[in-house]
Amino acid sequence: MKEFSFFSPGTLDEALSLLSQHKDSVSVIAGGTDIVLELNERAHTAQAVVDISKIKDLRYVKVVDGVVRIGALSTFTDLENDPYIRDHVKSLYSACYYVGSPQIRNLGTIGGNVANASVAGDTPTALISLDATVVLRSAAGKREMKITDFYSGAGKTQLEKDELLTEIYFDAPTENMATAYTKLGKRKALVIVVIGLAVLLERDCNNICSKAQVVIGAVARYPKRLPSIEHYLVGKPITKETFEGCRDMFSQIVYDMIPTRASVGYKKESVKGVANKTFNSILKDFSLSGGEE
Amino acid sequence: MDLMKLSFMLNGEATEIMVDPSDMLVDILRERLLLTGTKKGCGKGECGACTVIMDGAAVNSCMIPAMKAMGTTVQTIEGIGSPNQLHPLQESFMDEGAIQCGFCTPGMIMSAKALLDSTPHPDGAQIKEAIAGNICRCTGYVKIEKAILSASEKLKG
Repeated sequence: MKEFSFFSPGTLDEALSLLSQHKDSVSVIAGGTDIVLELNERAHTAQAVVDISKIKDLRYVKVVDGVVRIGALSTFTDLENDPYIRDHVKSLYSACYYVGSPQIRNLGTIGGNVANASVAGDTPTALISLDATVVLRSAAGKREMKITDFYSGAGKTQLEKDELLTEIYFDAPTENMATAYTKLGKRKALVIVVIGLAVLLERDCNNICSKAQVVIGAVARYPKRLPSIEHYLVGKPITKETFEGCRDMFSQIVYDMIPTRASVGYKKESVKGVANKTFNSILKDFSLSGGEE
Repeated sequence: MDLMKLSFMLNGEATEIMVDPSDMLVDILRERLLLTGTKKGCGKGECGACTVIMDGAAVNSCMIPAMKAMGTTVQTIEGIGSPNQLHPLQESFMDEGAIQCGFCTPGMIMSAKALLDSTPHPDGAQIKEAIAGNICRCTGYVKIEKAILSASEKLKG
C-alpha cells in the first residue's frame, strides 16, 4: 500500500482549510468503504487523506419547516434507525437498508454514497426521486444545487477538490405522497445493484396521481428520471391496473438504454418485476388494494 | 511516511502504538499487537472475517485506516471472554457445533455480539440480518444461527 499523510479534523472549518491546503492531491474519506479500498488497491492515489468522520456536527437528520435535512456524515445505519426516515421516506429507508452489510452500513455515509457517484450507488437513485438538493462548502463559501445537476456524467460530479458535501435536503413527503425503492440484486447482502427503482407519487383527494417522480438506477451510467412513465402516471387513478399498464413501457425503456449490453435480455424482463414490487409498496402505503400484505 | 501515534481503548485497556497511517486496523491488531484472533480474509469488506466492534458497532477492520480508530473503543474476539471464562456466544458456538474450519468464527461472534449488545432477544430474521456480512465457506449457517439464539437465551438467564 502506498503512503499518505493522514488528517482527522474535528470541525468543518478545520477540514475545509485542510482541503484548500492540500487540494492538489487529497482524498476525503468518511466511512471509507469505497475510497479506502481504492487507496489500498492503488486505483486512487493521494498524498493527503482527510478523514472527516469525526466532525460530529455533520451527523444529523432533522425536519425543519417541511424540509428534511440530512447531515452528510449520517451513516446508513443512522438513517435506517431514524424513525422519521423509516416511517415517512420509505424510498430512502429501503435504499439504505439494502446497502452492503451491517458492517458496511455502520461505516458508510449518505454523503459518501452521493459524492462517490458510483454507477451502482443505492441512495442517489432514491434522492433523485425525492428531488433532493446538495449543499457544498469550501473555505471560500457555500453553494447548493439539485442532485441531478450535481452529477455531470458517469462517475463525475461538480464537487471541487477543496469542497465538501455537507448536507442533503428535500421537501418532506406530505400525507398525499408515497415513496418506494426496490433493489434487484443476486441476493440480499453484499451485492451490487442490478436494477434500482425509486418512485415518489402524489395523489389528489380523488386518488388521481397528481405528481410522479420515477428514477431508474444501475441501468444507464447514472440514475435517470423516466419522464415517459411520469407522464403516463399523472392524471390516472392510482390502482393496480394503472401500474400494470406501464410494465411494458419499463421494458422498452430499459431496452432502449442498453440495447447492446449483454445483460439487456435479463434486465428488460426483470425490470417488470421490479416495477411491480415498487408499485405494490406504493399501493400498500396508500392503503389501497393490490398492495403487498 | 511519518509514523503517527494511535491511542484507543482496546479490549478495555488504554493502548498506544505508533502506526503508519496507511496501515489498516486489522494489520495493526494482528501483526503489531499480536491479536491474531481477528482474521483477514478478503481485505475488501466482503467476507466479515475481520469484524471487530468499534464504539458499539460491528465494522470491517480491513477497511479502516488505523488512525481512524483514534479515540475509539475497540473490542476484538480476545476481549469478550477468557479461556477460563468464555462468553456465552463462544460456549454456544462450541455446544451447537457451529464451528467447522473456524476461520469465520471470530468475525461471526463479533457480529453476533454487536447484535446481542443492542438487541438482547433477537428473532431469527434479526440474527440472519446481523450476520449477513459474514461469509462461512464451510456453509454451516443453520448451526451458527442456532448458536446465537441459544446464547441470547443464556444471557436472558
